[in-house]
Amino acid sequence: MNGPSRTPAPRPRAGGLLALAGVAAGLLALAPAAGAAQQFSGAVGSFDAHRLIYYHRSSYEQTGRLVGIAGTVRLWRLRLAVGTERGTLSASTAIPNSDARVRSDAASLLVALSGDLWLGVTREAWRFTADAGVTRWVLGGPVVRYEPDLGLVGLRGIADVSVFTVGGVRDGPGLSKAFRTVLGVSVHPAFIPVSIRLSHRFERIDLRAATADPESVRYEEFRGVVLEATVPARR
Amino acid sequence: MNARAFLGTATLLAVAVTARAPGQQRPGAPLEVRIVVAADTVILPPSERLLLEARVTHAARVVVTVTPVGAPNAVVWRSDTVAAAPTAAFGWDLRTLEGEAVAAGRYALTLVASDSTGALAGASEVVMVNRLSPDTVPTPPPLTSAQLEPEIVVVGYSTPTAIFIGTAAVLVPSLLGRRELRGARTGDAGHWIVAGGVTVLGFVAFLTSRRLGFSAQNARRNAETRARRAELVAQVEAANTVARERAGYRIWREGGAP
Repeated sequence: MNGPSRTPAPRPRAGGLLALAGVAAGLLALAPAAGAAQQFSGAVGSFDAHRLIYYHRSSYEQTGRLVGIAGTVRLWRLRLAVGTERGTLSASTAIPNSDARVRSDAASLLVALSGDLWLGVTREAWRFTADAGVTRWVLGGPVVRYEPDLGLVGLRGIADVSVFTVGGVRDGPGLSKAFRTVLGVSVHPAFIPVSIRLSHRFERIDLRAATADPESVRYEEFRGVVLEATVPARR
Repeated sequence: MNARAFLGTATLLAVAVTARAPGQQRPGAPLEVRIVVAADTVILPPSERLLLEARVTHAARVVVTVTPVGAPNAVVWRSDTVAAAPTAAFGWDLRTLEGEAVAAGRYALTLVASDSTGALAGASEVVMVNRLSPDTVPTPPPLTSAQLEPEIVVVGYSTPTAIFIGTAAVLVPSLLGRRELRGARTGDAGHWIVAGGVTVLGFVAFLTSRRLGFSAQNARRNAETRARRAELVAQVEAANTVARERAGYRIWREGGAP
């Protein structure tokens, strides 16, 4: 069920992502000369997602698991991350709600303001494929990430807030309000080279009315637990 | 002039060295002079002075100079020129013309006299000048580690951040979620799981974490201790400086004492 944003498989508009990917490629190209200041890490994770949709005075729910991978390169005070996640969200009710295959590609560039505070931008492209068609979102905006030391070696908190100030449905309505919070904790035990992140992700996407009918506004929420494993590879 | 220095004259072993000025003697009254200095005395500066007495056979103007033995042109001290009839007394404060304390060594005391006819006469004595050891106080030793408090200490580490994050994980979906979607929610307990996990880990960290931390209280105490020592050292050094300046001189005439 993808409402008014349904389109016949348009071409993805991924200029922003390509730009960030270009930056990533540039940083990677610089990597051999960067010395000890650079750090790479790879991550896999799953998002047990609940997708809530409000459209035409009705609400719907989809649940499922999105699985993703991500890579991060840190150069001095910069952190560039790219990742993708995909999965299927199953509709809890029948028509007009239907299963949707979800794919999300994201890139972010952060700069460290202090040892545990980061500020940057993110750009994401979402693709929802359902029986009725394909819907694409492009979201972008600033990110604040706070990862405080909680007092034990390898234990840090996670407080990540992204505000999507630009973007919307491709060839459809724009955003009226959209943000994401990721709150949790990361644990990096000394005896294994893996960092485990457990967090709760909450996203709210408010889309403007697609037509003159005010009932055509569309509200969506994604929420659920994210479990990730990150393997750092310091060079 | 100090009374003690003058009293020292009671122990003078007067030695007269008489010289006649060549070609200046008058047949009836030749000018004869001698300089008298204590055979062995102790002078405590700055209040006391070494008494030098000039004795002449008839009225004359006299002046006394002090020079190191072997360096007659290096005048260490010179008296005023005064009239002696038949004696004149000088007090040497045992300082040089530049006002510095005279160094230990052998010094020649030279008296030159001239009478109204222009006749000259001179006499000299050699004295040994030695500085006595001052009565100083030892400087306080440097502070030891036992006297100072450790400024880096092991402290328990606590932060409310974990509780804030856990609380936010619980509240954000309710506070920031769409009102229209509240009815559609079916048992999303994820935020409770995460909030509980974060809070528990935060409490574990709160109860078990230990780390090195800076103790401002101990640093303040150490600063006070160092300041007290610095003040004491300054007082001792000032007292020792005064003691050195006031260290006595032992002066004896060659041939008059050891």
